[in-house]
Amino acid sequence: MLSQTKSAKLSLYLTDFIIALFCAAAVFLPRFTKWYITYMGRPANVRTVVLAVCYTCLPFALLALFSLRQLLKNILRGDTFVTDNIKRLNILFLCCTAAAVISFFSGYFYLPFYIISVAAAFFSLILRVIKNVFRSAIEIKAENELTI
Amino acid sequence: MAIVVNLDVMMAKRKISSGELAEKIGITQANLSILKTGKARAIRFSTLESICKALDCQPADILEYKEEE
Repeated sequence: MLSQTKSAKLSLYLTDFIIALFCAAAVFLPRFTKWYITYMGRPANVRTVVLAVCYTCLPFALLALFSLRQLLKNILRGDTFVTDNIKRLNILFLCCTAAAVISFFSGYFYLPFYIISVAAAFFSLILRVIKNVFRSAIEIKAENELTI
Repeated sequence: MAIVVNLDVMMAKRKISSGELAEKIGITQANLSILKTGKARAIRFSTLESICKALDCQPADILEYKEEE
């Protein structure tokens, strides 16, 4: 089993990899969607919807990934239960919620987006619970540190 | 807070420095400072016992309850 530091480092590298992947996807998205429409036999207007949704969600995705990166860096530094991490988790929660809302309204034009919307809403709920756990942990930590 | 820590008063009475007391009771000077300044949220019985032993006093000499206004 990986040690805590190695595991956090691996998560950091994976986050970097996914950031790079998203940047590449942003560049090649028109080509991907064209391929998708042609080979999967979808109507042409689906391409516009997919492109619009993806490019609208991309800033939120990148913001979430950079917040995740900062969160992992804090953990690697040993600052796990700090207020900054609650802020990062809150950003992640808001980004997931934004993606859920965007996907939900896009589902009207292209049905599979409803699945993405439900998944994003589920993730945002999990993140909210994790944020609450962190807040409690910070309070317990402060209490423990100030018990002499 | 309603509980006032009079540790500095007792230390002055016993003419003992922070460093000396911290060493005697086995806590860091930083933690002793937290205790002296009243920033501590709780005190362990073991710490209180060590302080009373080192200063030859009773818990009531160190801790005092004052009604909050």
